[in-house]
Amino acid sequence: MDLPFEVLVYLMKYLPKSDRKAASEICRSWYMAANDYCFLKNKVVIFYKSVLNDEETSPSNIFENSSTIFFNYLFSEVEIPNKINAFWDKLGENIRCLTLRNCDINEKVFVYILQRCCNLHSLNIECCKELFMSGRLLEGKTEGLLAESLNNLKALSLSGNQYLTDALFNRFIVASPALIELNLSGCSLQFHLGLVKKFYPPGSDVFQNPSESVLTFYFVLQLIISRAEHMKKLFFSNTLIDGAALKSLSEVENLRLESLEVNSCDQLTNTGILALTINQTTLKELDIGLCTRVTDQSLVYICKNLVNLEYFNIQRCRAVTDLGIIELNKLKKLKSLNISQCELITKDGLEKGICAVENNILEELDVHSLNIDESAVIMISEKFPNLRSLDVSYCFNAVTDTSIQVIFKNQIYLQTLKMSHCDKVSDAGLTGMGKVEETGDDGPIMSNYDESGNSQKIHLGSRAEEEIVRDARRKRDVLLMCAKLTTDTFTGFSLARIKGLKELDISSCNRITDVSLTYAFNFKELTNLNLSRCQQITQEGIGYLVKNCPSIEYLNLIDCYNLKDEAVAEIVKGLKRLQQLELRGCNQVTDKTLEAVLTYCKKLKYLDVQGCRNISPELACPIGSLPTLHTVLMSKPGPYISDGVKNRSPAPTFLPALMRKLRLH
Amino acid sequence: MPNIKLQSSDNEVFAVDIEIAKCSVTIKTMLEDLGVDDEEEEVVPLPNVNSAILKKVIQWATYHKDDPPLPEDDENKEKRTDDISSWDADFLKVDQGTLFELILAANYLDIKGLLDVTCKTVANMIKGKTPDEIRKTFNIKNDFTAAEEDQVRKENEWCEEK
Repeated sequence: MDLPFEVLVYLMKYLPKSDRKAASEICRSWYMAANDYCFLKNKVVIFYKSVLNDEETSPSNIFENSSTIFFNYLFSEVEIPNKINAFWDKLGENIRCLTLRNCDINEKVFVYILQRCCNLHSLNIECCKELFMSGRLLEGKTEGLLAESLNNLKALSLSGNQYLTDALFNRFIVASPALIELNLSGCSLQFHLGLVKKFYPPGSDVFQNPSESVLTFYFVLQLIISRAEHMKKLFFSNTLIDGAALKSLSEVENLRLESLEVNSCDQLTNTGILALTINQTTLKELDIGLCTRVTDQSLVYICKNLVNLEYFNIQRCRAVTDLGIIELNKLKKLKSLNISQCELITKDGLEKGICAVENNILEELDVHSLNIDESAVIMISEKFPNLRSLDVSYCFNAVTDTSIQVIFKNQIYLQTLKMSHCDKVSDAGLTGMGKVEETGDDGPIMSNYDESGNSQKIHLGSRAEEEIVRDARRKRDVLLMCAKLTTDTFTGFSLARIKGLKELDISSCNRITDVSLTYAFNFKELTNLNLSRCQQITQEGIGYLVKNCPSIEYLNLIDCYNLKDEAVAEIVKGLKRLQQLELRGCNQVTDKTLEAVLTYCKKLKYLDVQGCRNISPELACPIGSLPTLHTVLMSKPGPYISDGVKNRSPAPTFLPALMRKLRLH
Repeated sequence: MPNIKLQSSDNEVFAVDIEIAKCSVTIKTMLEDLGVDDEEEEVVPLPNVNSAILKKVIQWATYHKDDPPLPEDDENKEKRTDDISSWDADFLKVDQGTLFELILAANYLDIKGLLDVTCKTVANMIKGKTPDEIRKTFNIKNDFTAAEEDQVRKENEWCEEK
């Protein structure tokens, strides 16, 4: 059946990204639809640790030959050679967004690239040390060709470049008059006034003679002052920005910021934040996470004045207490909130603050590592019916079979659920098949296993032993209930209710067994799954998982030591979209696992088999030849390797190209 | 309630409540352009829809006539597909040919609600499948040359959607 092009595009808007990818491989018309502008504008070509050259096999060649014009390119940990000029000659003028991250690139090549990429909207040069070392980059190049290249540049990031100076920075900004977004996170920005006096004596024009040895906040501020009306988004994370600096920034005339990120800025004080909240009331996004000096006072100012905030992060602002947190209910437009690791927050603060009334607007909530109890999680679950993302990891005491049941009852629209290290949760909570002791209004309440039948016996074993026995018995019970399930028996709420789940982290929830994988895992859209240290999992559960969750791309099975080669074989055969597989510490797997990976994984990019002592490095060579694979982590054969393999020849010397992919530990 | 007559491609005429017919933007615009007044017994020809499909469409529109208007689409958000009502799910338990003809009819008649729910149903049939499985499910011919197919697959390996 042929659908008209516009209907096909419309249909594809209902597909998750990975399914749209599969759809594009069906036939020509579906390929065209999947590469319609509405999707293409968000597609990024990613060269990660790739070897680029002018040969046929170079991945850059694929895009030179494509009938589709891609707009966004990311080069990460790549040595960018001067051999691929044809690539820039052909594609440069179509590139809108170019990112170079941790790349080896020399100044000459960089200038060549900039001249060819003459329609950039976004340029990100992150952690490219070499490029800035000499301090002569773009010298004398900012006029003529280059000036036109950056004419339409809206966003510039030079983050993580410690050799950036005022002079270098100036050459970039002179050529980009349309800038609205600037990222200098992780640069060694200098805030000391003494330095400013040394390089910019009073009365001198900073733009005439910018410093060639330091990057000063003073200079950056002068730029922002001169372009106040245009600048909307600023990123100064991981810098020493202090209260005074943020104050002078906030008070810049005509500046109306929409977004400010000052994550991990230890010098930031309440003075700066007060000035920010008075002057920049247009802010929609504010990230002050990991700023240790931020206190309740800041939070009171923010919640009172920055009523337009939609995204707010105060992760690990340790001084924050309930006094500040109760103010959060004044932020009515919040869509995303991160209050994780604020250890002083209690249920009381949440109850009077964000949970005071039902909230349909909040979509993302991160409360990981908060000291809250079961009832707090239940409260959160009941107040935010529209959550898309919830992180309750490390809330050991709060996430129980009972509270998780309330989440499964209310949060059926979740796409991301993280509950790492919540080891009170068992199969009973995940499947909703727990023993129902009493049924309140909130649904079933999971009881601990009823031990009345055994109370006569005297236990000689340790507590840990008892625990193991009890867990085993509980597993058997839930299994029986699942097996007997008919439609008319009352059941609780299964994880499977959250049909649109894309990302799930239940790492270190080690009471979870094959029973959950068999009965509660049925997610067509699940792409990321972390089961690390769920040590009871075996091949049986994996079999169901693979069958019912076909879209998995990232699978973490670290320390799931009951898994054997057969389980891995099921994974690599069944999960056709697998890109990342982590089997570190699965010490029962052998070379057969690598052979299966080599045979079946056509899309694998990352493989971790460290600590799998029965895997021999010889096989690393053919593994390295998988074209998509960029990283293999494996161990040298250990001393306790079994006798049969002791006399193996030493690890082969690897080809240089493979060495880039392979890390031996 | 005044009625309007809709004529299918195979010349069957259906009398439909005018308010129900107007959930099709195509028919609504047509009526406004023609300035049809209620007295006239006008027959609206719909040459792209056969009687079996038109009957289904009318059935759907009748059931949904009192629905509130759909919210504006947010282009930036991925659309949900798990919110198909049980009535719609039952209504769409049809063979694949009919399902695709309903999509075409919904598109031609410009009935957003019906187009949405039919596309969601098809999207749910695609999810989690390999390209081969999708081709088999919908009986689609692979018209790529071997080189083209290889090219597309390689592009996808290096590409991610933000």
